[in-house]
Amino acid sequence: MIELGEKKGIGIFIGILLFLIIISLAAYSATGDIGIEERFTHAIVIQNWGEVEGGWGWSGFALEGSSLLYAVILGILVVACYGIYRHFSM
Amino acid sequence: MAHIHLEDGSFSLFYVLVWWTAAIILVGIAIYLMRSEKRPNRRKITLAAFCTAAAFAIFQVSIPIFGGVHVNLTPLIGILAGPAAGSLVVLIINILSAAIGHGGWGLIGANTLVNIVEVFVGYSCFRLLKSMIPNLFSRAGIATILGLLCGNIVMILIIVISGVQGVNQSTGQILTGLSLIAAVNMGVAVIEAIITGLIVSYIGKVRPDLLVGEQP
Repeated sequence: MIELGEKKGIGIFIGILLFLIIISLAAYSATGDIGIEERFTHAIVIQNWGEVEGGWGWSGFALEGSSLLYAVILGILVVACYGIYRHFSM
Repeated sequence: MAHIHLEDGSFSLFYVLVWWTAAIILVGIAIYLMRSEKRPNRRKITLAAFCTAAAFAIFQVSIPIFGGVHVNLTPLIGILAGPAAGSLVVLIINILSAAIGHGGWGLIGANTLVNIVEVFVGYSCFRLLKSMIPNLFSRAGIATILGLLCGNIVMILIIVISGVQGVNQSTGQILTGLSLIAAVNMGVAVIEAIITGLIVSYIGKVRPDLLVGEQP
C-alpha cells in the first residue's frame, strides 16, 4: 500500500514537472533569451534603470549586486550559523 | 521563485508603505507566535539560521537558464523552519539582498509578502499531503511547486494593484506580460522543486527528527 502511494506521488510529481516544462518553454520562446530583470522591464515597458552589476561570474553563472558585499554578508552569516550551532549544540 | 525585479520608484510611496506595513504586521505576528512558545525551539532557530545563509547565498546567483534566473528556496525554508520562523527569514534575506544592490529598498515589503506566501503554502502543502503522498521527495517537490505558483500569483496581484509609475499600459497588457514571466518562473520552479525534494529526502534519511511530523 505504501509502495503504491509512493509510486503515485512520484507519478503525480513527474506529470506536474513535464506540464510546467512545456508551459515555461512556450513562455520562454515567446519572450526570448533575456534575463529576469529585462523580462520585467519588457513586460511592463519601462526604462531599464539597471542594478548594481556584480563583478564576478563563471560559466554563465553571475552574482547580482556587489560581489564584495555579498562575500562580507555571507561570511558574517556563516560565522553566525556556526555560533548558533555551537550554542544550541544540535 | 517569485520576486518583483523592479527598481525603487516603480511603486508610488503610498503602495511602498502599504506593502511594508503588511509585511511588518505579518512578521510581527510570526515573532509573537515564536515568543509565545514556552521555551525556544533550539532546532528551529538553528535551522532558520542555516536556511537564511543558504537562501541568501543562492538567491544572489543568476543561473544561466531561460536567459538568467534565480532560485531562493522559500518553500524549503517553510518546510524546515516552519511558517513563523520562515517569515522572519525571508524578511532578513530581502533586506540583505537590497543591501548588496539586488532589488530596491522600497520593494522589500512587497517581496517579503510574496515570499511569506511561498513559505506558508510550501509548509502547509508538505504537511497536508502527508497521508496522500508519503514519499518525501515528491511531496516536497509538489509543495514547492504549489508554493511558488501561489507566490507568482501574489506577485502579479501586487504589481497590478500598485501599478507601476510612468507606465501607460492597460491592466490587460501588464497582466499578459506578467503571466509570461510567471510561466517562465514555473520552469525555474521545476529546478527548485527537484533541489528541495532532494534536500528534504536526504534530511529525512539522515536526520528525520529535523522534519516536524516525519519521525519514524
